[in-house]
Amino acid sequence: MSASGIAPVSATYRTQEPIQPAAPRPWLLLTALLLGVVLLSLAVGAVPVPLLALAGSLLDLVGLDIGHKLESVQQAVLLSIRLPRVTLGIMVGAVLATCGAALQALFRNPLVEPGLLGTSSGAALGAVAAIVMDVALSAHLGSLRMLAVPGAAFLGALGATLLAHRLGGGGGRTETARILLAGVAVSAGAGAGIGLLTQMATDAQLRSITFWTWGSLGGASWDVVGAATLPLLIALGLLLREARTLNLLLLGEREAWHLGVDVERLKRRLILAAALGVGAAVSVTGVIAFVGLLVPALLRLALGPDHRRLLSASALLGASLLVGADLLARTAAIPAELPVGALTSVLGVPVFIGLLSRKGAA
Amino acid sequence: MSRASGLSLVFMAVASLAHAAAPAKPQAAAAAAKAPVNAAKLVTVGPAITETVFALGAGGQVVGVDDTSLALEVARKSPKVGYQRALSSEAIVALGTSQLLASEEAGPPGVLEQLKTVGVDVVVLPNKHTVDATRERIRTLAQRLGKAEQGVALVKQLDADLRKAQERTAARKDAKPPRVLALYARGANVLMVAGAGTAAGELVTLSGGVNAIAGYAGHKPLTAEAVVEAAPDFILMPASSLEPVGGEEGLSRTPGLSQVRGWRLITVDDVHFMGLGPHLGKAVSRLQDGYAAPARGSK
Repeated sequence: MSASGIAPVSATYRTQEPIQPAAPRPWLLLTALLLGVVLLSLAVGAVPVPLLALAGSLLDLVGLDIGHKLESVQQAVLLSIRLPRVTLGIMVGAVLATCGAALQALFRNPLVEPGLLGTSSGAALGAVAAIVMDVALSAHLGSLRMLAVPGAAFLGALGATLLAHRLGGGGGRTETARILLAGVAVSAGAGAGIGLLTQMATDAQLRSITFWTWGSLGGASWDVVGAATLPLLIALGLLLREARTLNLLLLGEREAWHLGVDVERLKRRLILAAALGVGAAVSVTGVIAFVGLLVPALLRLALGPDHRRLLSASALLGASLLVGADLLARTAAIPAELPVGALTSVLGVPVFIGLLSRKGAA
Repeated sequence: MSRASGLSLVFMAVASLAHAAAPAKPQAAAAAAKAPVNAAKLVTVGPAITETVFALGAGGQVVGVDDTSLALEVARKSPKVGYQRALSSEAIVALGTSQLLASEEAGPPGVLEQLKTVGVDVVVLPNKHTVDATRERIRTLAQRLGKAEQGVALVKQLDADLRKAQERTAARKDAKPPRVLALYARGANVLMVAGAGTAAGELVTLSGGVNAIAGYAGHKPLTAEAVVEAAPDFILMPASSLEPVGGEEGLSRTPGLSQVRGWRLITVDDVHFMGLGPHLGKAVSRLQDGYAAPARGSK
């Protein structure tokens, strides 16, 4: 690690005093929080949905009539606008936060987030390329237009992450510091590509690019949710399986290797899973910053570094955070919508600076 | 499998059950397309469409417009539904909208899909910057809104305006058509030039001028050297762009324009840079008035 000439950040990270967990069983709290945020999100919006009527309609589904039911407009809004939106928010938030937690463990650095590997910017480059090449802005509001941008974003994410991995993996053994540097280089390259493409873009394209790079859950229809569900859940499952090996990895790569962890293969698995998750997330919602940094960092302070807790807790809290941020995004400036990525950044930047200064003090 | 992924799976199951229970798409939309709906509550997206709807006398039915349409005097008091590419489906539903009349730029696509699912009649109209497209837009909207007579009158008026413009062009004494550079300000420091296939470029052609910048379509950032090369006689700008560049004074100090002598400024309402609405004749005659005005002292 230190052979690369970069100060080992792992030292402070590993010896951080694990604060005594506030709740040894955080599940109840986190699940309650998520359920609360979800119910609130379903009930609040431009179209008012009374909770009593909502409950009545839900009970009506199982055959109980309590005399209150939703009007058809309310029901339509709930089922075809809010529910897919909340569903997508839950999945994307969970995936981003879990990817963040796993990558922070892999690099033994609490300041890593999926964007750092070039994954997010690679996805953005793919999407912007698709927009500028006009595939997406064809006059057909059909399946082609729906698929061109997400498809390109997904490929971009995967390509960028693999490139970062390849660049960082000189001679078969991947060094953490090298991967991070490679990620920075790939991000910079993707950023430059986006810059050049925006110069080529027409006015109309430029506007959709800016809209897209800030991220939004606004276009979440059941089609979008359906297309994104499988890759998102696969990525989530792949990451959650790695809790035990990640704990061993915290001891250091060599120690983990002596304990029977095939570190190289573990890294490859994690990077692929993260690329799949973040690529799928970015391709449907645009770039939503800081969820992957914020959630695991906060939970590590609260729960300690045990990944058997940390990973699934990150998924729950990430889902709550994104659904909550999206609730703000669509209600703070009714009738307009704010980009949810901007809101998560507003939350994320102070926390990021706080973490940095803590490290400085350590 | 851990608790978290189990939870998300359970939620997905609930969501898909709810989805299955959702009402089928209303068939009324297809029927409504044929029969004109008079009492429909309209949300219009795109200034050309908004202007046409108001010009047809259906402004009273408009319950919301997009941000860009607010540049129109007539629509200034209408509720906003957000930026045309980032429409909020819930806000549109909350206004009680029954019909969304939108230009091709409206989005994101997912939102239009959502609105169709909720039973809003979504009509997407082409947004080509040609006079033919303007006529077509008037006719289509007139038929949709049951305002056939007003539609015919509006097209007639438009044709009359354009004939008058052609006569004025023919009557010009000097044979050399004026060279016009169409600019708008995107932010304080970026001037964009309208090339071929833009609303502003089309107005220049209709008024008997030539676009001083040839060779590309759409809007591009201004390059100083190309402006010197283009040597425009007139600068055409939307009225609101004048302030960010510091008025005519500031404009004459921008790189490129500072090297071109004797150009004169003509401003039109912002709307004319965004699309060719039913009142494009007004902008054309304003341009021609500008060409005919006596030159002031050279710069």
